[in-house]
Amino acid sequence: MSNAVFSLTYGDMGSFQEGPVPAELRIPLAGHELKTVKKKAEVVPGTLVADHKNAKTGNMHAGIAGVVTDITADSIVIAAQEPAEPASVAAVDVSALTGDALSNALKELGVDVRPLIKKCDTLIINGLNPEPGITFAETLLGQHKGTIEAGLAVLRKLSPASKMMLACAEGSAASLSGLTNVAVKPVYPNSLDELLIAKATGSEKSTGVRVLPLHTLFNLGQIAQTGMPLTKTVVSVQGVNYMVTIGTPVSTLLQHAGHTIADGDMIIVGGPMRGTAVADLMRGVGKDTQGLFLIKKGTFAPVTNKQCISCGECVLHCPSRIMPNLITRYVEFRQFDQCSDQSIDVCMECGLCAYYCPARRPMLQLIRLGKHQIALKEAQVSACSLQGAEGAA
Amino acid sequence: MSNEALPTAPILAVGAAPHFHCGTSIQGMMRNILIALAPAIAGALYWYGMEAARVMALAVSTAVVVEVLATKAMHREVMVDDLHAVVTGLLFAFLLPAGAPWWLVITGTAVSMLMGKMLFGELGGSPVVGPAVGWAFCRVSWPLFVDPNATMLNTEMVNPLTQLKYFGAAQVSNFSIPALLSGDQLGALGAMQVGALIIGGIYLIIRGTIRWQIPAGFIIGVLGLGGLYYAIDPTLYANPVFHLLTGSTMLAAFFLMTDSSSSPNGNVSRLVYGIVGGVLVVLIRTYGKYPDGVMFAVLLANMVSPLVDLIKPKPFGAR
Repeated sequence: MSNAVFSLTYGDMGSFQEGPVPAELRIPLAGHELKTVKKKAEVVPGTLVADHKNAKTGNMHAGIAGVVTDITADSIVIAAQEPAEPASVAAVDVSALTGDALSNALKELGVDVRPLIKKCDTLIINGLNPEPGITFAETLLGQHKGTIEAGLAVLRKLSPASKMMLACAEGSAASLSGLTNVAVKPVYPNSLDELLIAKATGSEKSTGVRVLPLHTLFNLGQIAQTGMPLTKTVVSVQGVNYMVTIGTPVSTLLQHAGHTIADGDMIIVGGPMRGTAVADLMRGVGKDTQGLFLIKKGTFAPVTNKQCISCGECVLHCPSRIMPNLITRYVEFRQFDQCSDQSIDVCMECGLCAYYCPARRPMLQLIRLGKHQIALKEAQVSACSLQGAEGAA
Repeated sequence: MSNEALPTAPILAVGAAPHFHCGTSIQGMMRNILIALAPAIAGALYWYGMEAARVMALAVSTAVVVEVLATKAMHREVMVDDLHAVVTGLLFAFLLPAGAPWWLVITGTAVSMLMGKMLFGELGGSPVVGPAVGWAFCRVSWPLFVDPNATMLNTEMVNPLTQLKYFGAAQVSNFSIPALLSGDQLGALGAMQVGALIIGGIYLIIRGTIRWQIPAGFIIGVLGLGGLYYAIDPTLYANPVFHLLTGSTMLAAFFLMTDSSSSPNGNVSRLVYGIVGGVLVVLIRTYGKYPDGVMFAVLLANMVSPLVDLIKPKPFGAR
């Protein structure tokens, strides 16, 4: 109930601490088909390990010196080892490049270019902490302002946006050159894209406005400053920020931060409200991992399959102003048309309904299931109509 | 792969987002309601002694047994530990006079549980509030045994509402507000503990178990229409505060109207729903056959609940 739980301001948390020096890296892949290394290949920091066919998806690079010990569909495993001969990767000066050359160079350096070049009129940099418990935003805008500005300079060359804004907490002194500030009450879920756009433009029906996370800009800024491939990023571990080598296993990182993991605990990658629970202790930290959380067993009551008691807490807290209680019941009874009638599509998936549900129903999961089923059905319908069109022709 | 050792490291739990929870539970809500009812229980024991204890204990135990039997019959998981049956039984007992015969208590509680909850599945399905259903059933079937005047002959307390009904508005001045608040009025054993119920209701609002809109709307409804009548003719109609502090008005405002499954969900719709209930109370008391029409007002307001739930804001970004 209290706003303290959902506050998104933490002040400057001080310099980022150094992450662990991992004995093993698991570099997560997202459809990177072209592995450029083989087993037992020696790598140094910055060695390209996986290329993506798509020209807009960033490549993956080794963050430590070592030997590739395993290559699977979703990760490349590297065991740390002293390199036989010192080698390093040459830096690329991105400041001189423009247009496609810049875009290609960034892809080579590990940046997902797609969100940077997406068509829009206005681009909002989300200077808020994305979720409660993630605490790096103020530090990024303070101590690391140079890096952010460097990223911004690159972004300006790529983005078609004519106007850029910085969304930051009310009363915050943060500013970026050339950006107008949008003061936002720093309480979750105000950090969500839809609400930021509504706040910045004053309309809930705005089009042509996009939001870019500060975290992405920081990664971009690191590359712009060093010209080296992206191998490190900032991760908020239980609220303490670390510069972490990409691919560091979550358990290594948690142990480095002084946490012990026991049976039945949950490890959350992302944020506590929208993040994903991982099943694998060795899951590697990705480029876009903003937070890492450990929830001890027994902290929260388990999710149940109880019936909705119609208390209305979800309705009163829903930022989309829909009726999650009704929608989740429709989903349970597979009444997906009714879900569409109740505007299931405007759900922002903030997770507040499930947070407040006293019956501990898996509200967000049910809503996602409903959206998924509706999407499947629409796909089938359009496939059918296409077939019909072909038949007629 | 088969010779790969199973992980000895900690085995993690997984789940869907969000991973945090505010910590409320159905059992917690019901426990809060029971705590809020405690002052009224003490008041009932003070005014009616062991008679009241007998009715409350019988109603609570019947409610629990009926819920267990009904869930067993439906081959469902028994969830009586959520304390809802205890709350329903206790609230039904609060509506009975202390002298109610044992068979009436058992029948009424069983009807409350069966027709006010179990018939509609688990907790949350019922369109009406259980205790009011049970009371209406008994009131229509055995009017004499539910009537405090008829069952409580060995008391010197006076029922203010029958005084108003049969002897006119002039009788109202015989009742002082402190006396009414302290429970010094003849009536249902718990519903009469007006002051204690107000304390309990405020506790519930502070704890966040109920929201202020429904009680506020209900009180506004009673004071509004009651005040209108009083302004028209003070010799014919009672002071609206009298309506507020007599009968089951306060019990309904804080405990029956706010029943989660039968009340609407939006803030505005809750206010409207409360006002509808409050207005109906005064209408039934003024024109109806029953001296205390609160339970019927609650049931009728329950019927309106799906309608007022249509008052809701437009979804985000809707045209």
